[in-house]
Amino acid sequence: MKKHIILIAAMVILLSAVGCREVKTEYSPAANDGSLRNEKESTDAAQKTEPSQTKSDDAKTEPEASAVIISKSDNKLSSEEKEKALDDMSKELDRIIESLNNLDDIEDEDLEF
Amino acid sequence: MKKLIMMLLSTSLLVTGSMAYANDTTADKGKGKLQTRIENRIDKAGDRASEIKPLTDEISLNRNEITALKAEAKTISKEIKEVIKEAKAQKDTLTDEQISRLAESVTALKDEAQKLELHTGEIKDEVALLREARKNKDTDSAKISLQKIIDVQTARIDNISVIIANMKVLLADFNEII
Repeated sequence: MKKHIILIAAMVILLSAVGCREVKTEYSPAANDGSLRNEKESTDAAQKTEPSQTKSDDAKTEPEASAVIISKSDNKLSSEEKEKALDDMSKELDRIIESLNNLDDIEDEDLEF
Repeated sequence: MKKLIMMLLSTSLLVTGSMAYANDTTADKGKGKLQTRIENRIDKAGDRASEIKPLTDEISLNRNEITALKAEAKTISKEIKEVIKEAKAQKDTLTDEQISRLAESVTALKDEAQKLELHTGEIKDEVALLREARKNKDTDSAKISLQKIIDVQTARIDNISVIIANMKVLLADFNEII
């Protein structure tokens, strides 16, 4: 009975050690089988915009560890809209100066007692 | 007869002398009363002036300060408009975020300017009341109006100072992106 228990325990330990080595091998940069890594890259790429799709395809062929970061331009204002915004700022400044010029005041003669 | 004439002359001398003396005394008394009245009026005017002068002096100082602040605001505004012209030439290089940030700074300026507009005319109203008080020689009302003018001026000085500070920030933001 004791021999059986020892044998089973030894097999469990052996199997655990082998399993760990396999997992380490899968995530090693030198590994040929990069299927798990490519799936991760594809998932990241899918969350990005369309123009990056081709890039993710390229990533599948390249054995790189880090994910490719693609910056997406958020500029939505057209050139004309930017110009209009700047013109509005200029007009607002004119309005402020006009407000300052319109401030009422007291004359010297009103200060004589 | 001679005695009679002497007596008559003496009596007339006495009477005229008394009359002259009486006139002088009355004249002195009248002059004294008038002088006192004049002196009292001068004193009161002096008191009024001494109460009001500090207020009018403060108003003059505030007026000068507001004039200087307005000139400074105009100068900075011109600088900003020059920079806006440069920005328009490079508008394609400006990002939406930069435009948005600049627009926010301008909105803050606009809010301060609206406060100025809200209180425009208040000094003019008080000046009308002040003129009325001066006409009626009502020192108390005059002092109240003068103090109100000072309060409006103080608020304007603070307001315009904030506008200038915001303008400087806007100018710095523009210079940063160009």
